[in-house]
Parts: sequence; C-alpha cells; structure tokens
Amino acid sequence: MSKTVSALVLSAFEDASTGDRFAAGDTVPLDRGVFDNFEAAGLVREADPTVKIEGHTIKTTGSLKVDGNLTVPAKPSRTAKRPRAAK
Amino acid sequence: MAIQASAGAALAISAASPATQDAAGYAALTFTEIGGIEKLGTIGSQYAKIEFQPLRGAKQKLKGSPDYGSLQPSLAHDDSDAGQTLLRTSANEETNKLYSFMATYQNGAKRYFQGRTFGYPETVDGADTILMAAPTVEICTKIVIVAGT
Repeated sequence: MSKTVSALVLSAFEDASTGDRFAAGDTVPLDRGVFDNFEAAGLVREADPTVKIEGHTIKTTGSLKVDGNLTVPAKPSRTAKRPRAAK
Repeated sequence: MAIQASAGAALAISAASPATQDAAGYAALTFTEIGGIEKLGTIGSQYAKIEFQPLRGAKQKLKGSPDYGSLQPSLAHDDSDAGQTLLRTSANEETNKLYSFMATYQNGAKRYFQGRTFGYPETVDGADTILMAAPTVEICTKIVIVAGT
C-alpha cells in the first residue's frame, strides 16, 4: 500500500526513473517512497495543507494544524424540537 | 546464450534502508534512477588473502576478511537529475548514514547493497567533452543478488 503525499516542488528537476519533469512551484501528488527520496535530495517538501469548509465538512490535503481556535458553527440537530409558537 | 551487453544497465538510489538485508527487504524500497550514467564500474566483494610459506611445502593461502568493494560509476553531470541530486546529497552527508543502491542489468538481474558516497568529483576536460562526475560509493553491506529472467 502506498500513501500519496502532496508535494511542493522547490526546484525544477527530472526523474530518470519515469521521465517525469517537475517545475518549481508546482504542487504534485507523489507516492510516499518517491517523495522521501526527492525530499532527502532537497527537491520537494510537503505542501501546506489547503482547507475547504463546505457546510460543516472540513476537507484537507495533508495534515491540518490549527493555531488558535477553529470554530465551526453548530448545525441544528434534526432531532431537536422546535419551540412551539405561542397561541 | 546467457551472456548480455552492458547496455540497458542502470543504477538507482534510495534514502531509505531495507527492513531486512535480503531481496524482499530491498524490493520494498522505492528507488530513484540515477540518470546520465556512462559506466557502472565493478561490483563485487573481494577477500583479503592470508599467506603462509612453510619451510617445506607449497605456499598456503587462506581467505581473510571480506571487502564488499566500491562502485565508481562515470556519469554526465546533470544538476536537474533527481537521482544524481540524491547521490550528491549522499556524498555531502556528514553522518555515517547508509543509502541503498540497486544496480539493474539488461536481463533484469539486480544487485542490491547499501553504501556511503565518499565523494562526487567533477571532471572538466577539453572543450569537446561532456562535464563528467566520478563518484565513489563504498559498499558497506553484503551484496544481495537477484537473478534475471
């Protein structure tokens, strides 16, 4: 099983194993083993995670670190009873 | 006929170490091919020779300590090649970290080993020559041999 890592390319390079070319500044998905070799060579680093908040679902690419408070507004429970209107 | 040409042979490097010093351990690693190689050089261990010459009789020869040897590939220097860059990183390594290597022959046979790169000298020759590099990888583990097809 191979985990994919989102990698930020730090300088342009070519992988002779595959013939793939990478441009500086690009963010590319790499298998963990490939990433480890490129990172050791100083060619890539793990890309900063991007966060999308869609409704109440948080999707991230990479690890998410929160400095401070991350507040997500509570979603009204479907089972919560609505207050009855006064007659 | 089982002989083969050197053409098609390749050398690859990994920053990782195998969990076990066998074919399965190395096969689990991800290697990055080193581009622009002109020659791989000699791969193989050599035993020290212990000699004793008795006053009477023939010289006796025994095998001493093994030396797993060194690899001295010749390659066209390329700043943008990922495998070469990792090889240069291993040459600049100030610790005794071992890097893993995989030589692949034309018939698919493999030679796995770990080593330390002791230098990456670049050769600037005459005007009509390619800027070459002549790194030296000292092999520090027993070479794992995987037969080709």
